[in-house]
Amino acid sequence: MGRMAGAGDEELRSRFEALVREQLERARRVAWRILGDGDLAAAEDVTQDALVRAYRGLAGFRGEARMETWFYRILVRQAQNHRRWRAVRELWSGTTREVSGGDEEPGDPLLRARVLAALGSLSAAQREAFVLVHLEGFSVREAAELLGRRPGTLKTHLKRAAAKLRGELGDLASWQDREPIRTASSSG
Amino acid sequence: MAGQGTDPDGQLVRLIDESYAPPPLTASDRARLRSRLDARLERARPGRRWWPVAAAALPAVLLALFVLRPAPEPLRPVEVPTQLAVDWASDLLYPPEIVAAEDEEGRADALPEEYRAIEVLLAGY
Repeated sequence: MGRMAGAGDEELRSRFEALVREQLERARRVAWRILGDGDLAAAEDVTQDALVRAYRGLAGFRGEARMETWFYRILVRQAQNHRRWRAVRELWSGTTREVSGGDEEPGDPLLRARVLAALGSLSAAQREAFVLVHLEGFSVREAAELLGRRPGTLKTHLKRAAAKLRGELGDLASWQDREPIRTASSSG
Repeated sequence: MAGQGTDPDGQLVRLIDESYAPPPLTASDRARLRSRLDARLERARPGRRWWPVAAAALPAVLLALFVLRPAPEPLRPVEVPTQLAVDWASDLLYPPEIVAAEDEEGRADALPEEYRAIEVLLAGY
């Protein structure tokens, strides 16, 4: 691997292999959720691009952060860039892509539509914070690092997102069960 | 964990988690993604990048351009008109007197006053 030529580099490569094996599905889901338009092909493209980028930058990985955190930072940035470019393209072409939850998904389509509409009412920053912390199980500190924001700012986004979602979807949830939040999807 | 007020109801989060997710990755999806990724990683290998090839080829390209550059036109002797050369030599040997034209009032109109004063001083007229 060019610059990576020692035993340490072999180890990096094997760690990257393990990352791909274990995180592919989660990475695809994180990308899909951050893009927020139900475009599965775009989410897969973003995931692939992020993995290729990470592979190329593997020699620069210094191990200061976990490889997983390092990779998800690349993935989140890739998804944000994709979303911005998509917005520019839509602005330029005067078309808007319809947000869909994906027809192949199981479950109640009406419920899904309501959830999508509620998430669509959040700002991009609020949705990203909500997705990473509450749905993907990153800690506030990790999510702040992934998004390049301060933990305090992230908490503010989370608070506002929670309030909006309670307002939009509160009638769907039973308020008797007020367990703490650790219900994020497990990795992989 | 997030601070006070940042945690929505657990059931609500569960509901969103279930409703806001892509279809699960099937074995064939995984194989397809993996093979596409492997092909891209193979292309992304540092040894396969274009810039080392370009860097290696650059000196050869520059050398080829140097060798194949168009030949410059040969130097041709410049013909100086004989009269021009004679005039120049003549001017050198016999500097022409600069005579200021005088206007109706008898003042030199080509030189400023200071120069006129110096001229008078030196030439005595």
